[in-house]
Amino acid sequence: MFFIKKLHKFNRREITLLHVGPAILVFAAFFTLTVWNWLQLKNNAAENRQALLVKNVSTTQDSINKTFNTYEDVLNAGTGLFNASDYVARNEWKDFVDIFDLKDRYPGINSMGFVQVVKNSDLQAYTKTVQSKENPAFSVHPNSSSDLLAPIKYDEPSNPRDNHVVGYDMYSSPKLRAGMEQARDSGQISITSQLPGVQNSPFGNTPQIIMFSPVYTKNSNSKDVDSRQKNISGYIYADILTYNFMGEFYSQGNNDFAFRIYDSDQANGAVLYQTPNFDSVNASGDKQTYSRQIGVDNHRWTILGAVRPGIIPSRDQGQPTNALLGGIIFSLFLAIFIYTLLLNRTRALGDKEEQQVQSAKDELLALASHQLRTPATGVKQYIGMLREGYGGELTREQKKYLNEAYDSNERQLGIINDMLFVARSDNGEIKFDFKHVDLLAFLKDVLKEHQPIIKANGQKLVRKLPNKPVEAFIDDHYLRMALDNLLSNATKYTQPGGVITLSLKKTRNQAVITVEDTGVGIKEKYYDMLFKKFSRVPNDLSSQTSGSGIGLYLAKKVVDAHRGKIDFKSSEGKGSVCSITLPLNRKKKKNNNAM
Amino acid sequence: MAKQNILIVEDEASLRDAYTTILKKEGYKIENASDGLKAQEVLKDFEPDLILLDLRMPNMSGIEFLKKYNPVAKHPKVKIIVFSNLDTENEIDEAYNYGAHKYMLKAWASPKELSRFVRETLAQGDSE
Repeated sequence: MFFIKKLHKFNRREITLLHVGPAILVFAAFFTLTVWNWLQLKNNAAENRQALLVKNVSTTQDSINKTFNTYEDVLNAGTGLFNASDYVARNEWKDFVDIFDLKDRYPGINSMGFVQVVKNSDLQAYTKTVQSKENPAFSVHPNSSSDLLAPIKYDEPSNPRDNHVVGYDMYSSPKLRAGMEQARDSGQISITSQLPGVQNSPFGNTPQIIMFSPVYTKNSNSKDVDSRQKNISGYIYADILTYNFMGEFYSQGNNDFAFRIYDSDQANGAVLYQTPNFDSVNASGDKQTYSRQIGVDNHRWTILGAVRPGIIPSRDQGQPTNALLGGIIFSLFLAIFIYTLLLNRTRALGDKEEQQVQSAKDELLALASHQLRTPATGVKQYIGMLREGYGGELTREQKKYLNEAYDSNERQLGIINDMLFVARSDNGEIKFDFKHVDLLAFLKDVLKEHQPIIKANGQKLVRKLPNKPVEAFIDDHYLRMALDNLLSNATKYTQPGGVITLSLKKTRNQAVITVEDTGVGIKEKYYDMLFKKFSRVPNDLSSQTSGSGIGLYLAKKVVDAHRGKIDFKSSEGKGSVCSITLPLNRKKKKNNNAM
Repeated sequence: MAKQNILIVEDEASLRDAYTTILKKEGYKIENASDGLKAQEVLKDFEPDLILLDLRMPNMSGIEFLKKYNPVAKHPKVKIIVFSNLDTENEIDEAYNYGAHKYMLKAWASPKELSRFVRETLAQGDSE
């Protein structure tokens, strides 16, 4: 029991390290987790958007392919018509085209027509024939000096305002010529690259492409390029306005998906078509894009799709941000929780340790006090005997020395008493014995003991006592102990020449006993320490005086048991005032009050 | 008048001697013993008017002595002052229960006060 484990008192830095440290670590860990999760979610969202984007682009691609397939069917029908007949007249062609109801069923096809490949040398004769048979206004333009020309013979539905379509030599346009020759040589439908826009579209200025299907001379064997070139008769063409053709399936799309079609194998170059929202989607900072090359007949186009985050429902859009915020808040709370937990644990442990140390100290105290009393008692007896003449007559000097020794020993016994009292009061062992006592007489009696010491210290004792008795219900033994302590402290911590004042004031319900000194005082920050056991507060005289530091603690215990209050004020360098307030209206209880 | 008989039971030799000296000076007849067992021996031939009984002793403590020997029964007119330097409530109550009349803290009494206390105790009637 005498072995007391060293009490580890945490200093400020350790507290920070051991409590804030883990909390910060926990926060950092969870915050990292949160950020990682947030990034994952963002990624997922981006992937989702990308997947949707790709899907939309695929859908667009499918629509384009499907539409072109139908256009090809239409062209093939036209080719078939020419292959099946020896001659197709203008009104036949018109009827043929009318059947298709292009405007409603194939809105992308502006018109369909037939181009005849004509040798330059045959041009005049050809023109005359067509003029007489089909169209008096037929005239081939522009003038050309090439070997072959490809004038438009028929074009339906015909636009009355646009009467220079018919007769136009398509070979005069390199793009058209390229398209036609491609079709001729491959024997397959081909399309041109983008041609300048046309005004007459409901979508405004719209680019156009021409789709060609080659018509060879009847019964010719057109299995290779040479024979194809030799046997080319003409072309069926369809004039496709891209905005008309795209527009019909775009309207099914949504606002956050946009696309653009480039007439190239890359996502740049001539734009065949773009959705009305393309510019705004493309301009948004958080867009995602995806491009895909498609083959349309002999051409390569590139679909460039773009999505805005809005393509994902806003509910899901907020998910990453919510997760981030939620995670941060959670991490914060967790960190605070951990910190609080650790702090509480440390406090509890500290308290427990303190308790253990305290009770070990108390045991030690009690035992030591008891052990110390024995030899001190021996001294008391023998010196007492000498003083009282048991050893023979004494000289004055001998008496003086013996008195000093006896007094010193008495003081020692007093200290031991105090220590025992404190140890016991902490263990709850003290019982108080309250009696009706006149405070005035009591205080006068207490002062009697202290007067000589005060005088010996060169200090002045001032009494501010009433002239009438003040009856109170007190335990005079312990209250005396407390006052002894206060007065001892006062005289200990006051310099010679200082003044110690004891006053008693009576109000209606209370008695206030005040011990005041003009001593060294203590700093305000030490007030709390005063009432703690074993503390001794640093002040100017500390090093010079002795004392176990129990004084005010003991006083407080006693005053508490009296249901009173003890108050202490001090001013460094000026002095201290300690006042004890005792209630006066207590009645004698049946038995003693335990502490 | 002859002064009374006092038995001092105390294990601490120097205190025992001190108390013996002090009380002998007052004229009492003194016997002493250093523990409860020895006290019983002494009491075979000694009729005490007062027993000064220390509580903390080896071999047989004060309480044990009171319990086992029961001096009050054996010596009806004896007064018993128990004394100790450890003044725990329980011990004191126990001592009273087993026949002690008075309790004294050793460290309280100077020689003068010890004599006075003994004198007062002896002077009190059996109604104590």
